[in-house]
Amino acid sequence: MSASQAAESRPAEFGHFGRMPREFAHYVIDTVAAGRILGVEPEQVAGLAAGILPHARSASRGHLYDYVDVINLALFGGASSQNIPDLALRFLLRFAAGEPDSWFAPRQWQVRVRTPTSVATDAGSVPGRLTVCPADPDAPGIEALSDDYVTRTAPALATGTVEPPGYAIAVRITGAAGTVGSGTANRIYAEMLAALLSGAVVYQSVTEELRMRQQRAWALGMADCVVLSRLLASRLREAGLAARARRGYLLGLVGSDHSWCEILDHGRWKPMDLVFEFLASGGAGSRSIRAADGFAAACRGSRFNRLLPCQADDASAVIRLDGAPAPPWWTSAISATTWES
Amino acid sequence: MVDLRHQRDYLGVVMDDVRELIKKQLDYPPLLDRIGDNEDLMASGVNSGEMIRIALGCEEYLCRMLTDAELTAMTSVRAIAEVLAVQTGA
Repeated sequence: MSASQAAESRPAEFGHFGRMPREFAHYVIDTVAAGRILGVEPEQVAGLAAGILPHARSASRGHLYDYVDVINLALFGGASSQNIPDLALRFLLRFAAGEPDSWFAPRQWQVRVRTPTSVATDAGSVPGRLTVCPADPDAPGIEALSDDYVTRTAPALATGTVEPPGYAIAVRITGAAGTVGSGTANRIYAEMLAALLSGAVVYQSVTEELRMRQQRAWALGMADCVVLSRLLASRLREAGLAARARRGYLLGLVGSDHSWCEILDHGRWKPMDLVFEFLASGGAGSRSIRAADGFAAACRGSRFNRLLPCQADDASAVIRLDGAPAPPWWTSAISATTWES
Repeated sequence: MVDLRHQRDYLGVVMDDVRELIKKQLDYPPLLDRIGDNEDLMASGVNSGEMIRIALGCEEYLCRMLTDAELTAMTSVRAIAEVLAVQTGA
């Protein structure tokens, strides 16, 4: 990589986020779609992005931007105070402010995962076979349930890939308070957390291709939950520890794709979640969340009762088009509600 | 079924007001006219972004942050009315 490429990609002072390197970017988002994401009129987009976002030029569609770059501009550029994915994550993490017992107590969830029903997007229609990764019924703390709701709407916990419109499942998720005993693991985790809190690495959106090259993303000074979980797992493995990156859903009325690391500690897989602790530690500025005492510590070894892992090896993409990761704007709609027995 | 939309129901909030609050957040407001008070909003076509905006609208109405339990419970018009009714002391 040349020095100019590094300068282009490294988080700049303005905007405080890294632009996607050209080899990982897809310049397909026009000013109409970008304006919708940014909460501004299409004719304002070019001015807003000038000098900030790389773009391609199309004779018929004008300036075209990378989707993830536009999302980051919305998150960091102050263009929109109501970015939906960011708001969704902050709503989902309200649980962190609750009593610690509520993080771990067994909880029954009805979960619906809906794939995008239409392939018509602002970037054009792309035909292909869309599949979503099913939940992992063998994960620690996960128990598949059968109830009237599930049998009415979809097969019980699916195995294998699931095609549109998606699936519905009922699960009981039991959390567990815990700590990680390995000093080496805790040191590696603390070093990565310090890089996030110092701003040396920016917590931001990253393209799926770059997520799979986690060392590269980290070197560029950018990371999201997938980058962090994969990098932490690989560093733990390099240190001789058994670790894996997981990907699944953070459950709530409007759920979210999420990724975390797990370490095998005294015979138990224990989560280590850098994103949750970073957001709860005030390092994310206005994006930080309120958390009860003990939540940050719980991110190192405890399992929360609202994380549903999927059968995604090494935190690979959970929604695919013809076997490859689907474009980032094709997200599944996750919704989950709780009910009492 | 008794239509409570134009009445102050047992919750102490006017269902019309709750519906108006929800409608403001929908990309296609007439959609709500086809959704009953007890029907699941997301299963009836309300999308994720609209649900987030509804939650924001409720926070604005209540002048406070919603709790995790309240956010999880907001599945229908009636459930949202119940969340708002807590504040009004009904």
